[in-house]
Amino acid sequence: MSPTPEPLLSGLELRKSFGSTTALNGASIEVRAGEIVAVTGPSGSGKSTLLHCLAGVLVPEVGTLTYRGSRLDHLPADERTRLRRVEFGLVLQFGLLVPELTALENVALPLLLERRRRTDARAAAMHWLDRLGVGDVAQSRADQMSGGQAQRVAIARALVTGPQVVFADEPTGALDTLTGERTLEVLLGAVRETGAALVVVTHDNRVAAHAEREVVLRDGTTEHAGASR
Amino acid sequence: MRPLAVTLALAGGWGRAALVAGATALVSGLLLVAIAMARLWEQPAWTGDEWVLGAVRDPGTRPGAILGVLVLTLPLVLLLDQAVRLGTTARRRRFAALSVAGATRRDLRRWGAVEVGLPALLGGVLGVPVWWLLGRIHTLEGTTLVPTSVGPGPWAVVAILLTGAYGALVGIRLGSRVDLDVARRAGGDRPPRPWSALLIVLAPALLVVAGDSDPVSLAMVLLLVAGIAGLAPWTAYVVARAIASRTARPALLLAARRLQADPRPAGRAAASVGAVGLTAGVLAVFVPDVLATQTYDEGYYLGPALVAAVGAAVALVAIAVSLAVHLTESVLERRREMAALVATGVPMSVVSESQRLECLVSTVPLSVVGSALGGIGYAAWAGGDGLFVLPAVLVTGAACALACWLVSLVLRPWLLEALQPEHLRTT
Amino acid sequence: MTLATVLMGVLASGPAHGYDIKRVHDERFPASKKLAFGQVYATLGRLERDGLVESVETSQDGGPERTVYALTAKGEWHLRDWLASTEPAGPYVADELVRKTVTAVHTGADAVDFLRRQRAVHLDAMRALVRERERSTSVGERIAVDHALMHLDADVRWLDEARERVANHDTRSHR
Repeated sequence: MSPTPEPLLSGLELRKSFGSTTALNGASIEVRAGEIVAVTGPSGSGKSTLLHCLAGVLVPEVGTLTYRGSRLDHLPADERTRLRRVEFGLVLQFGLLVPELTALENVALPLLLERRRRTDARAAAMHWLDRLGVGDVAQSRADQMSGGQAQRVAIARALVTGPQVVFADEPTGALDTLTGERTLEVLLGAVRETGAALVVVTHDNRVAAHAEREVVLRDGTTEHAGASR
Repeated sequence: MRPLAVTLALAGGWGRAALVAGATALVSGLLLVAIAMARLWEQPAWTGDEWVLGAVRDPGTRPGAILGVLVLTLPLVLLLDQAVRLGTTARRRRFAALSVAGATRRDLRRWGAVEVGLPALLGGVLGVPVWWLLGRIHTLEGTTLVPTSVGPGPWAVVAILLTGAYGALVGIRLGSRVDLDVARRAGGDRPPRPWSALLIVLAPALLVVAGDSDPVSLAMVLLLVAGIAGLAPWTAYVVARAIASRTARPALLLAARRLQADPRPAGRAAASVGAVGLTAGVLAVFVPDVLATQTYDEGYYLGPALVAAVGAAVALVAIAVSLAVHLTESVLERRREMAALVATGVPMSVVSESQRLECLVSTVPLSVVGSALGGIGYAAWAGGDGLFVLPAVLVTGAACALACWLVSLVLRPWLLEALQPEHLRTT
Repeated sequence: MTLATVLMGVLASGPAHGYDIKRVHDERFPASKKLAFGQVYATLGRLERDGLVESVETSQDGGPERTVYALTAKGEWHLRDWLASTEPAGPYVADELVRKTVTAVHTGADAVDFLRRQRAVHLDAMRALVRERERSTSVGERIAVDHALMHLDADVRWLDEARERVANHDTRSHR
């Protein structure tokens, strides 16, 4: 039996409060390279907060966050921002695209921030938009697209820098069943192709069923993960 | 129970009502000053107990002085417009909820009219003490800025009602745009159109039709100024779009697309800055010219010049304040979008820079163009030495850049707060 | 064997006559068909034969036979084992899940733990179906799998909600 590989990203005994509300109260999670993990639990259980901590958006008050062996929560803000831009991809539930920019510009933005040349950035962005089936809205403004199209553009943006981990917060939350399913399939296909790990927060069991395993959060704490093969 | 009118007027909050009243008071006061100046024509020239500046006493230069006062109201109207637009999202939501509850479009228009018209009317009335205060200002030679022997008289009522009516009209427009906006997303869909170009074309046409004379010249200048000012939003939109499609700098891309999506505030600021620049350019030729010709009553000319310079500075401050108000509000309204920007890896410094660039792109170009035009144009028309035009252009540009830098400094705490990841929470 | 274990669950609260056993069953499962006496006595007979239940007393003063039944130690063990084990997830298991959960609640067994483990079993089954659907190419196969998935999803949602209700009730009654 092969030894389980070192986790790529892990959070241990995370605690995070917002004012008087405790969102996370001793949550722990491990993500291995290329793994697809679903984070589930009733609403208000702290799923999004856990995602934000793992992705380096929030810094927990207590607990350790480790990415590739080094402490994520000890990094200064700019380095965490850079990490999120290059090594992580974030697909949020709302407000994730810049409404004034076109789809192409939204996807190219992380590359432009990495000082890539304009033509290169736009070509890479167009490539990903085509791959996700939304090449035809490349010149449309982000606030003039349907929800499904916007989600796919956001997925393209998350994948354009070739991240190691993709984080998705309720990626099908605002979509109807069939559109959501198609979007999910597109996300999973892209992630499997690039070999990135995927952490998806969802309250929908059918979305969770697409993951390899599930981590259940309840009142800010993780129950021991549901078994898989 | 408060009367309904007062409740409506305060619906947008005390701060906004106060800002509207304050800006209107200044506008009204200036209008009263202009009316008083105009009423000097009812009197025989050079009466003994008139102490106002020579430039106003002299019927030849009086139109210019009146024009100057009226032009000074424009940045204040800009500030007023900006103050009125504060809290637009909240108002839209309020009106949408009210219309669902059964309010008709007429109701919403009426409430909008009261919401803005009442503070505007109050401000109009407050214009009287403003006029009185402006009358207390004396230059070093003992002359006043405002006519002393005559006041606006019964025309004051007209001015006050006009400002109140302007406020009410703006309020009506706000109220009637609600159902359109509910269906459509903010800003975005309707780019400004260059209709004002017609006014510019009209100016030389007027010259051809009515012949050359003082009133015609005045009318031409007014048409040109109005035409250029009206073109400003369209120009801002076109320029922003051009910049956005060519740049690779993320901060500039964000700023340009933001300006393209919402060009009207920037356009208005640019128009006002253009006027300030024009003034600076003209002064740069006028003042050295006066100093060079050795007349003994330099004060007669330098007085108004100083007033114009101070007016331009005040206008610049008003523009900076209205830009600050606009940017602060847009940051507060888009907290979740801004937090998402940072969450997906855009550094805070880039967001902050894009705001600064928004300001700079809105103001510096037109300040440079305005002052160059003013200086060169006036030198060509009145015949003078254009030596100081370039320094004036540089100074105006630098003053704008400084104002933008100050605005972004003031904005920083709000921006930092808006970028916090707490705003990503949906629960 | 479900009815047998459910009746054993009724007897877990104490010995009872066949008539009372039927009455308690019908009260506990108001959505189910009411039991027939013949069914009850036949099941009790089988349980007695298997040594899971025993008759404790038989009174016979002139009226109809009134046998009191009680759980044996072996019966208690079987019951506990049944309450703790998960069911394989599938299309016809919902009824069984309800009976098991309700019985667990009434006998004071750890329903929350059972529901948690059952959810994991259901999720595994859903995952397998998802993989199957991804592999299939025909519309007919896909819509068949869709149907199974949706029903399993409905069961999982009931499992989650039931867990919340039981957990809340427990915390409230422990104050």
